[in-house]
Amino acid sequence: MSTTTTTAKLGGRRLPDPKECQHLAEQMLSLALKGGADGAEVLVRDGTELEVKVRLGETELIKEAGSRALGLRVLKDDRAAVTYTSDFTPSALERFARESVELAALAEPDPNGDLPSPDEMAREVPDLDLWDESVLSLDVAEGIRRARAGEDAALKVDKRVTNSEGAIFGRTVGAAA
Amino acid sequence: MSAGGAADQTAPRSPLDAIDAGLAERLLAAALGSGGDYADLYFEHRSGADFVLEDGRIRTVGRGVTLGLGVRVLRGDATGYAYTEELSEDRMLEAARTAAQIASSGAAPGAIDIRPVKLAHRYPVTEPSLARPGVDKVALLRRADAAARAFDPRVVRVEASLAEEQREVLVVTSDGHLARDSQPMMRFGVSAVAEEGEGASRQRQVGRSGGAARFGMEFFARPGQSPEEHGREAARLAIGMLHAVEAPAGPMEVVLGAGESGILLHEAVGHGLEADFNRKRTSNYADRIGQNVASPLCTVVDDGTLDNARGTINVDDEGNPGQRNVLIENGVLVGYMQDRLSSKHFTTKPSGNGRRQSFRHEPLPRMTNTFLAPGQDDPEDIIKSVKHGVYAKRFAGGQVNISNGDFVFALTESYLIEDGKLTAPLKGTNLIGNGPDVLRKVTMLGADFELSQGTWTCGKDGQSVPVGIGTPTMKIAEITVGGTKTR
Repeated sequence: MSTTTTTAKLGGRRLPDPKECQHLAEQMLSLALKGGADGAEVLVRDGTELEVKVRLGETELIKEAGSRALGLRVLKDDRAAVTYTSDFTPSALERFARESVELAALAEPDPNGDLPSPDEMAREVPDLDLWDESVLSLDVAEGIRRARAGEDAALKVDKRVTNSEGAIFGRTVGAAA
Repeated sequence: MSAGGAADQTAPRSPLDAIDAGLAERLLAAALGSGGDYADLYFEHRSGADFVLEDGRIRTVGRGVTLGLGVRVLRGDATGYAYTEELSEDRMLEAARTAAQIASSGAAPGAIDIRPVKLAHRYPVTEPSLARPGVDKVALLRRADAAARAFDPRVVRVEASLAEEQREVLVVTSDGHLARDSQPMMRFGVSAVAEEGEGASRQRQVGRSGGAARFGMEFFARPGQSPEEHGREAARLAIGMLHAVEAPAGPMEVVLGAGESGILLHEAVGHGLEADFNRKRTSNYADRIGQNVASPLCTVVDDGTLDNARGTINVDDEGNPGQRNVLIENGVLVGYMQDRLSSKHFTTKPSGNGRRQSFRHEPLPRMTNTFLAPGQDDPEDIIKSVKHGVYAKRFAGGQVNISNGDFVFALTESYLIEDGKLTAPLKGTNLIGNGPDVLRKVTMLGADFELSQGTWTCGKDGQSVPVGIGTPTMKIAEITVGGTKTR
């Protein structure tokens, strides 16, 4: 469970926020129901990734980006459709919800595909201390340092180790709802 | 912006139409704002749908859209990369500045004169599929299901699937090139399970048939590609395997059937001919241009120009036109597959092989359609020439060590050859060997070229791209066959 606030930064980037994901998910649920669904499930993921590649001590790749995506499963008359989008503009979300419900009509009824009943859903989500705050300090410079250290150690194992494809260091931080 | 590529007057307006020259210039200027040799913008809009029929019911229908921009900056051999799904100018400029961090010289970039690249039209779609009603696609799945079940009462389970996609790309580079392309892909597959016998002697085998190519609905009108033909073929393979015998084991003559055997070429030789592995000298073909690396019968080609083929591209993902590249000519290594970065290193021209999985990925040298050119021999003579060996027809896929070309492949359809004739179908057959070694041991090469119509996907560095493969029928003097039956 995240202990950070919505204003936390990650090397200058906005940190993915589970509350924002939840808000988007709830918004989509309501759009799906308005669009005619009997039920729906939504998954929203928001993440930021950093990848650094080093070869023979030289930096070969620095890749950094944020990414958001939404997956939706709608049910209508026991028929299901599964859809996804990365376009979060309000008009696109509304159209997306409506088209997903229309798509479900093509599937055949599957009585086993219904949603779990409310009393089967988790009420409390325990804090398993899975969040490591120190990930916020893993920036490009630190990534390069670690990748270099790893490759260096491999090249020094034996003089017969004469070449390297490179070493990669990657870090992602994400939130989901 | 629109230029080159196939323009469909009836298509709905694309989000990529909103990208104008001025915006592209501002983004490229921001990307090169900290220095760097080169920058490019890669806009991608992808929409797709998929349908699965299982046990006679439409189990899944799905649809998705992705839209984004990837910005790349090159400085020598180093790459800076960033991407965004939000196409507001602010977010795109932010991505450009993030990619720029690979450079640090602070030199101001000059003005960029953007000109469209003229492209071929290798996959004009006459019957676009995404706009067609879903019931039409469901009907195709039902036809395959019915044909598979009707083939033989021993067919107990059938699954059929269809996936369609339209991918639009817009590449703008700091060299001033602009390329826009619309890339369709239709994929269809059937798998059938056949069962025979009871209790301890019960046999269950699966057979699969399918393919993918750059078509719309006209995919299914082609010879051999109707839903019924795929349904019957999947059933035929499953039934055939019910009485398959254990494959022999040990080194022996192998005849590779035309078409799918190309996977062996792709894995065991093709990857070694990608320029990045040779730049880093991790490929067994490094520093060997001009040397003899295969039997003089062998000419290996990577060709991105074959109409409608799965691996074909009008333009690669760096804005360079797809082209035909001869890599090994009559046994001599003549070139590698290049992306822009590698081509600068080797001081040669890009070869139209710079491809990426999506806007979230940086380009790498990748294959398109890779094959061995046909020879002079009659394929029937090739089989007749084998006293004891294996005929390899269909492959499941395989793995290779590119540093030395060692491979292992599993076969899904193969036959024993005895005294020049195909006899028993085999199960559990593997081919174990070395790519360059196989090319040296080609002793007969058929005149019957075939490009596989199958759904082949190449994975490299965590990036998947669709590819095509092909070969003529060919005889290999010796490959180790991994089976369970010893002589």
